Amino acid sequence: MSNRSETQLVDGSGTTYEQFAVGVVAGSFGAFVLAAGTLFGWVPLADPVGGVAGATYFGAGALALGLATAGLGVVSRRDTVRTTPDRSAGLGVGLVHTVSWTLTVGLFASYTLGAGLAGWLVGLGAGLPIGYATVATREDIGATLPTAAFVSVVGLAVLAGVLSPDWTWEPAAFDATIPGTVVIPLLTMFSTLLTGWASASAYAGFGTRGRQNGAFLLASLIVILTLSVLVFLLLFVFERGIGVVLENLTLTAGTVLLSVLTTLCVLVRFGTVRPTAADGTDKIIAFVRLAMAVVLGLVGAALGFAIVANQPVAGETVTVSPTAAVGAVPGLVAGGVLLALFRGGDRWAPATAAGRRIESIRGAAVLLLAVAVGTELFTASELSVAGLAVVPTLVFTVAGAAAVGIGLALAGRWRPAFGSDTIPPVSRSVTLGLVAFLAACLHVTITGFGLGTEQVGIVAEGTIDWPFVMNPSQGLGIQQGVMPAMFGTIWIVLGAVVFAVPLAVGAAVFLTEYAEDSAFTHAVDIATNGLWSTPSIVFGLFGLAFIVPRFGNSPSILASQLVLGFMLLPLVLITSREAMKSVPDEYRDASAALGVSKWDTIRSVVIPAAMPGVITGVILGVGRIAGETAPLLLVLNGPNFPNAGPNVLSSFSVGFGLEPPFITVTNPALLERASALPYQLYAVITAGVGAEESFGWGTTLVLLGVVLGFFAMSIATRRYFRRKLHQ
Amino acid sequence: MTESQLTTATDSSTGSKQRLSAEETTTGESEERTRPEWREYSFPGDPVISVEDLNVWYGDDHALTDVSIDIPEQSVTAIIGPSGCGKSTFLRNLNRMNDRIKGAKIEGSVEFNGQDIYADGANLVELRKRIGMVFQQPNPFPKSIRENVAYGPRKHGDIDRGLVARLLGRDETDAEDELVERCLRDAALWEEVNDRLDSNALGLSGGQQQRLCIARCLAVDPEVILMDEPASALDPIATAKIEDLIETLAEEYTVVIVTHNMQQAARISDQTAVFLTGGELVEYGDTEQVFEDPQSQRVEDYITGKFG
Repeated sequence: MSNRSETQLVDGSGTTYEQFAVGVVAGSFGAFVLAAGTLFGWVPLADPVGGVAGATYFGAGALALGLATAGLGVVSRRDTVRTTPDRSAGLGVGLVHTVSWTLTVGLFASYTLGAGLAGWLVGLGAGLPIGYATVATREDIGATLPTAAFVSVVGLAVLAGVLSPDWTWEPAAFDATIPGTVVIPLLTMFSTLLTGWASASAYAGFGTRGRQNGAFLLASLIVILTLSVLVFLLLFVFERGIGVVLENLTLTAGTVLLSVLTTLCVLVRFGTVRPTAADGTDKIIAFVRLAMAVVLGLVGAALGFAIVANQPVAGETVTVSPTAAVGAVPGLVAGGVLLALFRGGDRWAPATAAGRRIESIRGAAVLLLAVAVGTELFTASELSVAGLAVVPTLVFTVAGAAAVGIGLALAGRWRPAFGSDTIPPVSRSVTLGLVAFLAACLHVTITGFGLGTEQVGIVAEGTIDWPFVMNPSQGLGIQQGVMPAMFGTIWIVLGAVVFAVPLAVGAAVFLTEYAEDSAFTHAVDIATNGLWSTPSIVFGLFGLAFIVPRFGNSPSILASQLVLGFMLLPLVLITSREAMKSVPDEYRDASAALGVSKWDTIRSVVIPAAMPGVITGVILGVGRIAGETAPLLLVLNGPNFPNAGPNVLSSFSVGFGLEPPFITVTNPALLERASALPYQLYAVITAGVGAEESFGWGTTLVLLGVVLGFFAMSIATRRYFRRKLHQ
Repeated sequence: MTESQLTTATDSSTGSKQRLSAEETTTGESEERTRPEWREYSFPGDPVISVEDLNVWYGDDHALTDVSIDIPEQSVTAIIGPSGCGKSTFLRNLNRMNDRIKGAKIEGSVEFNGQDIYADGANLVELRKRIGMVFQQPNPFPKSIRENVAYGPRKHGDIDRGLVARLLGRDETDAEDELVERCLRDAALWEEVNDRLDSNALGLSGGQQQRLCIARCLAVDPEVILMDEPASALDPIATAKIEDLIETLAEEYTVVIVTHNMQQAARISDQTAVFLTGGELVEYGDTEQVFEDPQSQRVEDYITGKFG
C-alpha cells in the first residue's frame, strides 16, 4: 500500500520541501536579475555595499544557492519527502554538466595554469565523469548535485577572492582581456539558471512534472530576457532623448486637464478597472488600469489645484501655466472622443408631450448650431447679426440649457416628482453640452477669436508650445527642432503606403485568385522574396538613376515616396498573398454556389477576410521604410536642416483647361527636396566637431514616436477588421 | 419565363421550355443504350432535372459512369452509397460546381427544366441562383447573420442598399429585413437568432450555422436545393432539426440530398438513388421500394450491411 500513496492524484499543497524549493527558485531569479543589472552597471560589483564588496554578495549567494540545491536533492534521495524521480536525469542534463565542467576546468587549466592542450584533457577528465554520474544516478541526485557542486565552486572562488572584480584574464590565444567585472556576473547568471532549473524541477518532485516545471522556468526566463532587451532599448532612447524633446514645453493647465479627463473616460469605458471582477491575467491588467486611472485622477486634481491657486507647475524643462484656457484644436479632438463615448448611452424616448417638446427644441438647437458653424466654415469669417456674434450666443445658451438639464436630471434622482419622462437623462444633456463645446472649438479654430476670458475659455493658439517638435532648426544652438524633418517623414511614409498597398493587394489578388499555380507564380514568389531582401541602397540608386530624371529632374519627396513604395511593395505582396491563401476555400465555394461572380466574391469575402494579414504587412513594412536612410541620401537629398516643412497640403493646385487633359493637378511641394528624420539624424551624427549628441537622441526619439504612431494607427485598423470578422 | 432562361442560345424565341441543344443527341442515343438493371422509375409530371449518360473523369479516375436519372419536383431525392462512389461528384455536377475543380472532364447532358446546363453559353449565375447548394461543413461567411442571409440578394442587385441607394432615395433596408426574417423562419432559425442578427455568424453552433447556410441559400429563391451530407458534421439533435427542415422544404422546393446515413435517407426521402463503387447508379426508385425490395443483389448487400 505504500506504493499506492506515491501515485496519488491530488497532492496536499505547500509542504515545507516545496516552499523551500520555491525559495531557491525565487533566490535564483533574484540573483539572475541582479547579475544582469551588474552587467549594465546598475548594481555595484567592485564598490563596497554596506562595508562589504558587492562581489562578496554574489559569491555568498551562489554558495548558498548551491548548498540549498544540494539539500533539495539529498532530502529527496533519502526519501524524507514524497517525490517521484525517474531513474536518470537524462542525457540532456548530463550533456549540460559535461560541457560546463569541461569548459570551466579546461579553460582554467589550459590558460590560467598554462597547461595548454593537456589542460583540456584535464577538463574532459572532470567533465566526462561528472556527466556520467549525472546520467547514472537517480534523477533527484543527478539533477541537483552536479549543479550544486558547480555553483558552490563558483561561489567559493568568488568568496575566496580567486575571482574578484580586479582579476583579469588575458589568455594569449584570444588576444583579449576579460575582466572579473564581466566574468563574475556571467558566471552568476549561468549558475542561477542551473539552480533555478534544478529547484523548479525539485518543486514538482522531479519526474515528468518536474522536468516540465524546469523547462517552463527556463522558457519564461528566455522570454523575459528577450522582452527586457527590447524594453531596455526603448527606455535607453527615451532616457537620452526625452530631455531635449521636452525642452521648454509649455502647456496650459486647461488643455492638459481636458486631455487627462478624456483619457480617464476612455480608460474607464473600454476596460475594467475593477480587479475584483477579473480573473487571471485580466486581474493584473485591471490593476494596471486602476493604477493608471488613479494617477490620472491625481494629476487632474493637482492641475485643478494649480488653476485655483494660480500656481504654475514646472518640472525639469516643462511648464504648465495655471490658466484654464483650452486650445481649440486639442478641444476638438477631446470633445470628439468624449462625444463618441457618450453617444452610446444616449437613447431616450420621452413618454410625455412636454418631454417630446424638449426633444424637438434640443434637435432644433443642434441644427441651428450646425448651420451657424457650417456657414462660418464656408465663409471662413465670423457670423454676426446686428453686431451680435451668433455662434458664441448660441453656444452659451445651449451649454447653459445643458447644465440646467444635468442639474434637473440629478435632482430628479432624489425627488422622483420631477419625473424621468419629462427631463432627459444626464447622458443626453452631457452630449448636448459636448455638441456646444465642439461648436465653440470649431468657431474658434475658424475665426481665430477666443471665447471667454484669457483665464477661462477657449483660445485659438498658444495653449501648447512645444519648441522641439513645432520648430525648424535655427542656427547653431539657437533652436533645435525637427518639424520639417518630421513632416518629411510622415509625408514620405504616407505616400509610400498609398502607392504600394493597392498595387500589392491587386497583385496578390491576381496571383492567388486568378493565376493557376504554375512556374510563373513560383517565379513571382521567388522574385518578391528576393526584392524584399534587396539592400535599400540599390533601390535608392535605381530611384536616382530612373525616377529622379523623370519627375522634375531633382531629388524630391515624390521620388522618395516612389522608391520607399517599391521597397514596401514586396512585403505587402507576400503577406497579402499568404493572407489570401489562408482564406478557406469553403467561403469561395459558398459564394460560387449562390451564383455570385468571382470578382464579387473576392471583393466582399476574400479581401475582407485577408485584410488583417495585409495590414500586418503594412505594419512590418512601415517600420522599415520610416527608418530608411540610405535611399533618402540619394533621392531626397534636401538641406539637412530646412527652415520650413514641406507644404504638401497647401500647394495642391488644380487647373482647368479646354485642351486635354482638361484638368491638371500640380503640387510643386512634392517635387522639392526635403529632409526626413533618419536623414536629419544622419546629418546630426556625422556633423563631426560640434556634433550635438542630445539633438541626435531627440531626433531618434521623435522618429520612434512617429513610427509608433503609425503602428498604433495600423493596429487600430487591424483590430477594426478583425472585430468585423469575429464579432 | 425569359428571365429564368439559362442558356443564351439564339433560337430561344421558340419557347424556353423546350430542350435546346440536348434534344437530338438524347433521342438519337437512347435507342442503343443498354438500360440499367433497375426497373423503370416513373412519376407524374416533368422532371426538374434530367441527367443522361453522365460521365465524369478526374484525370484518369473515372468518377461517374453512364449515370441517367430523372428527378421529380417538390420532393426529396436521397443519394446514398459507400464512400468514394461519386455521390458528391454527381451532386456537384447538377449546378456545375465541378467546373471549379481542375482537371475534371464531363460528358453527357444534364437538363434543368428542359435546358442543357452544359450547353455553350449557359448562364452560371442564373443556374446557381436556381439550383442552390448546402455543403457538408457549415460554411457561413465571417459576417453578421443578417449579412450572410442578404449576401446573395445584395450581390445579385435584388436588394439595393448602402450610401448610394440612400442618397438616391431607393434604400431597401425594409425589404431586406423582411427577406432576412422570411428566410430565417423558413430555415427554422428565426426564433433562435432574431435578437442578434448583427452578431457574427461564426458565433453560432454548428447546427445553427448549417441552418443559416440553408437560409442563405433560400434567400436567392432557388427551385432546387442540393445538399451534400448536410448533417454529417452535426450532433443528433441538430441533425433531427435539419431533417425536419428538409421535409418542410420539400413542400416548396426540390431537394436532392447526398447522405451516407441510410436511416436518414429512409426517414426523409421520397425516392432514393443508390450509387455503388465505380460511380455507377445501380438502383433508383421509391425509397420504400429501394429499401424493402431492392432489385439488384449488390444494392441489397449494401443496404443490409454485407458490403460497403
